[in-house]
Amino acid sequence: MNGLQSKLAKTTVAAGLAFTLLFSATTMLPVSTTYAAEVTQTIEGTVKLPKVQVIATGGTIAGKSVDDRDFVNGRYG
Amino acid sequence: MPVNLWMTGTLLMEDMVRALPNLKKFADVTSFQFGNAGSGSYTMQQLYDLSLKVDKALETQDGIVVTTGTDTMEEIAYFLDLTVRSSKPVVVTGSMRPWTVIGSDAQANLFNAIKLAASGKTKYYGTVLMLNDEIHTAREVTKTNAYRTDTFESPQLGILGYIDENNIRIYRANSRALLTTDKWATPFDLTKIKSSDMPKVEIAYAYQDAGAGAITGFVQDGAKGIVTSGTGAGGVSKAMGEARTKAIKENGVIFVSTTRTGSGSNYASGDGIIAGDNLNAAHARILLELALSFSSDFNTIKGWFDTYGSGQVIIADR
Repeated sequence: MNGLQSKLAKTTVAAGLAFTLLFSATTMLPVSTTYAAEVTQTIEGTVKLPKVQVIATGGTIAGKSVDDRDFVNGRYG
Repeated sequence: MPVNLWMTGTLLMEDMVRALPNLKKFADVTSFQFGNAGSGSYTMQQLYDLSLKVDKALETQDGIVVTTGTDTMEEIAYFLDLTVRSSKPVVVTGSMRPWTVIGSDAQANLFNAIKLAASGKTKYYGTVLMLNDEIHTAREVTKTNAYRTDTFESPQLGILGYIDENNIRIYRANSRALLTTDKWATPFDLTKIKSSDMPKVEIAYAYQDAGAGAITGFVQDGAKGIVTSGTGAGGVSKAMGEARTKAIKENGVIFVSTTRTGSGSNYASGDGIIAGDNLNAAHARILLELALSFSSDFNTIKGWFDTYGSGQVIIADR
């Protein structure tokens, strides 16, 4: 292989590689995104969140103001 | 102008939990409406039911948040601390301002309490109290102000840790957390008694020249135990002292000596009198009531005060 052929071969390989990368980027990206989304969804769907129950007995935390002009006075519990 | 502008206990927890944002990011939250009243209106028999409900829920839950009014929150928290059998996190919270008013601490407290329970960081600590981003051990916490949102303090001994946004920091262990698994649960297994077994236990406050009436009245009313909130290191007036001696000798009443000063210990036990260490009167009364529910033997009850009551850190030899 002479110098010209070698240069042509390198250019062809480089072009082919670029095309492959571009093709991959344009065609595979949506697939990858979908996959990532599916994984995230799968993680959200299967990850075991701690189970917490709030047992409520009332008190001020469950209080409701009956007059919005005054938020200082009140009955506590 | 109405006197009471806030109606306590009017919102349902189901709606309050639903109003909190982003809960699903860190916990699978459900709610149970045990009641909807001020903390001081609950009877000891209802606290018995509450404790059993907490343990029942912990069979399937990873952590429990109990919301109560703040007035007697420290007593409810200590009752749960002494009776819940599960070592999973139990976090008691509430607020100083109602859910719907300007500057309410209600949402933040509920949100952080759920976060704390979900984190599992207080497993083995017994019941803890979380308000104003601060985490307290149930045995030591007390309400110190009628209005302020930073009302809860653990005098002299301090908080266990705090919550800054998503950062939950625990900086010290209470004595409970250091116990081995086989010694972790207290003797106060409520499934072994009926709520009607819980005797009447009262608190007599000492002051200048206090009369005998409080103690004699409590005894006549059927009290099996009386906690004195004494001056200084547990002092009571001459009249109170004489009434106490009479109640011990003639009625077998067991007394626990505490201080009204807000902090500090009592060490002097005697015939019929148990030193309450640094438990405040309200906490000592909870322990005495539970102790008398399981035994009438003075030395047994004294032993429980010396161990579970004193809350001292004891590190095993290595």
